[in-house]
Amino acid sequence: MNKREVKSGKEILDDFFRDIEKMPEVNQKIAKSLASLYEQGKLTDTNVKNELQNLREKDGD
Amino acid sequence: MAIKIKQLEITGLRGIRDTLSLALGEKSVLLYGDNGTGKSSISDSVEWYYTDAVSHLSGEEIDLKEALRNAYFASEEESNISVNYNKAVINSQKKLLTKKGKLVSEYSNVTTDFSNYLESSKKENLILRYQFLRDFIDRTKGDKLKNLSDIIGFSEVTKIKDVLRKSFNSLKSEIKSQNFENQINTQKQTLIEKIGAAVSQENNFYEKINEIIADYGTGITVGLMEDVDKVLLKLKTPVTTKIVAELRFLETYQSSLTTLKTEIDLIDKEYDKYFKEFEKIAADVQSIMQTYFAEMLKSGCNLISKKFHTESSCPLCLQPKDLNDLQSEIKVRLLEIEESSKKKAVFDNAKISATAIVDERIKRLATLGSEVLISDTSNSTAKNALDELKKKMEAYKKAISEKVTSGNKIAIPNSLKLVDRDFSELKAVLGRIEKIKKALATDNTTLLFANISAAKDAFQKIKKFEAEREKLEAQKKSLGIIFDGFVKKQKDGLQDFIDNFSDTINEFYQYMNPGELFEEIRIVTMGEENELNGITIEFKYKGNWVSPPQKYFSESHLNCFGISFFLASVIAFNKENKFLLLDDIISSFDTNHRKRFADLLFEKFADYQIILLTHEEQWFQYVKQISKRKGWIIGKIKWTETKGTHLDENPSDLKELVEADLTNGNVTLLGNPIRKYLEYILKTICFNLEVKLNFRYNEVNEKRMPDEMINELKAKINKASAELKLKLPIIERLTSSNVFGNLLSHDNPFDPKIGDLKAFWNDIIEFESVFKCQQSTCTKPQVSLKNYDTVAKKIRCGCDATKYDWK
Repeated sequence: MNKREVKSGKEILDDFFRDIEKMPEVNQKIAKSLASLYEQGKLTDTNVKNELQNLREKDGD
Repeated sequence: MAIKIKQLEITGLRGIRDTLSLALGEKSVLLYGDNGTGKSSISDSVEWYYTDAVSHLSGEEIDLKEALRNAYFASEEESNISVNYNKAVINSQKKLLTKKGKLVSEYSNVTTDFSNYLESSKKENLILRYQFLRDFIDRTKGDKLKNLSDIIGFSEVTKIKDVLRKSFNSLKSEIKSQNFENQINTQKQTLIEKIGAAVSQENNFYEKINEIIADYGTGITVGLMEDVDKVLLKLKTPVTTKIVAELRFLETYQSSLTTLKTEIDLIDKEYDKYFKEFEKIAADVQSIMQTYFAEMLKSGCNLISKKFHTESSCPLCLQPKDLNDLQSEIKVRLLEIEESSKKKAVFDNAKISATAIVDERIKRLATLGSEVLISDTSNSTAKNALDELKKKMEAYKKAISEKVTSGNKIAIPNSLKLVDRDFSELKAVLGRIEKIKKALATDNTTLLFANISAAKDAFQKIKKFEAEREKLEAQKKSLGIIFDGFVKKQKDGLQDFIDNFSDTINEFYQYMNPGELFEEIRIVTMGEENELNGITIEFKYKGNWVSPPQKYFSESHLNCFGISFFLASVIAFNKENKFLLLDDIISSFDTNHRKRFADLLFEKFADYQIILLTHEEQWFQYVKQISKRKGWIIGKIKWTETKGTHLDENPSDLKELVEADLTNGNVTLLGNPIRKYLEYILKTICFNLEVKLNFRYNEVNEKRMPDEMINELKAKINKASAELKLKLPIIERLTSSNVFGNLLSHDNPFDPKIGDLKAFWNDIIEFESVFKCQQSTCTKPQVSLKNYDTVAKKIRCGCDATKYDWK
């Protein structure tokens, strides 16, 4: 088996949230919102819950 | 270029008051500091420099910046940490200063080079990882393996995974508590009753409306919701409006209560689940209470294991106690607490679920209570019945809100359960509805108006519920995909580390445990396909794979494993920085493993710059011997009230430091070490020649020592030695130097240039050589009255090569 490159915890997180919008069948607005919270260092369950609520309240989401 | 540190300076942070300067010159350093000397002030400052946080100071009640600043520092003084590297463009100082009455921090280096460097250092997580290693070592045996991924810097990954899992569960809980299916079915019943069909598509709804208005000659064909409104407007009269409003209110009341009635089992099931968990916990409330003591017990354990507390007593209550027994007892209690925590987590989940279900019903009853007609006198009985239902739901809420540790009992499920008589008003309301309908039976237009109006309302509610459910389901689906993707990423990341570094970890482990029966160690992830609970290890013992590892691994073995894991992560992740900081990590190790760990560091990490801090005297002495041979810098950390945390510099180190800085042209802050060295040699000379000074308090002494000692020395020489009088010009040169002026303290306003400092230093060295034999073979090089030649009347060194007349 070929060994893959080893990534640090932060690199794993950075990679994941950078590519989150490319995940198939994932709502783009949710993906963007999570990536933005991560970028700002505000990814907590309370903030995610509030963001999801906001998205639901907006028309068309 | 692999980054190493050349110079580290800290002022006014934590216990460090005066400047603490470490001229590392890319070398490793071993620092010993007794408990309470502020050794960790260094690691805290470095952590703050890199991460803008200090993990053990994090907490809502602590203002980090305030806690970081030395307590004696005045508001106008500037605390800071400066780090100079072997790559000058990233040299920077991080300052903590007061601006507009507020403590703020800033870096002196604002270049892209530096910000890129900081960013890559954060990726390496080089500072925090050793703390997770320390936590790992302090944990109970059963707890250790869960935290292996933390010590390689994956703690943030675990934290984010937890956030995503909670968010996903919160959506599931929201869908469950809304009970959309039930709400939609109630509205469908209304549609059947009003228009004879539970239509779900808009066009079917319009078709149905067109069908029932066909004989009324409205002249309107319904194709949109606005058309339904037009029909209603055409049918509307002042009389119909009043009757229909009353009918609509009664029907809303009836459907709301009917929905609630159908949900009795749902509410009761959730409360029953909660009640059972409450009873379990309340029956053993001590086990839950002790979860609150976990942190305190862990602290007590740390105090003992790190030898902060060495008396034969409990560090918390101070009762007499054998420390080994106490440590074992604490570990057993921590294991029990771990079990209790699991029970508490189940209880907490039941509480969250029951609360959500009850809150949603209270909200719906409140909405019904806000209907305008509920206040009408004709509806007073209905209002009272509604209030009673609200009270019953509030009773659920009160029971669920009871603290499990209060000792109070909560209502048994049957005593709260909603029963038929709570809905007896429904019968009266239904009677009133029937009565209105009967009255309307002869008034086709009003009946039609009422039916269409109620059908429109029910249809729109169905659409609203469906839309809400759809949004929640869609969000749940997205979150589910994201969570699964995240877990896969986490698992892959860990697996990649394991695939690449199993051999290294094994090698390090075997190094610290030679001759062990463990032939091979394998790291495996725990959890099913899409879940990851942590990682554990398996090992071969007499040819068979063994798991769990605690079966044969002692605590010391597990600690070695943790350290091996950590060191492998240094190789894996410290891509840019070639230094690492280790603050007090071997406390729980037995002597044998401590030594082997030190040997491992020296042998396998010789090309790394290591900043090693310890308060373990024996270990320090052991490591010191090797460090000297390897050219490490060695120092002791002291604390005094006036200076705070400072380095107890020995003169030879000081001399080396000054000479290195002069060679490298590092002029900043060099005056102080030179002054200290001059003071040191003056004290030695004056002591050897019995030059006496009057006693002064310390504060005064600090300022007067160099010049007063020199003056007294000159006076003594003038009286006692013709030969030494010939050497007085060198002393004069020293005292006339601008650098010497104003006592060489930090307050010296003179800003010396490199030339001034070099000249002054040469004078000091020449002055020292007058009183110190330069023969390498001389075992007692100091010229001293102790070696006085009574025949020749000369003071001299031990080998007689340096001597002067003395009377």
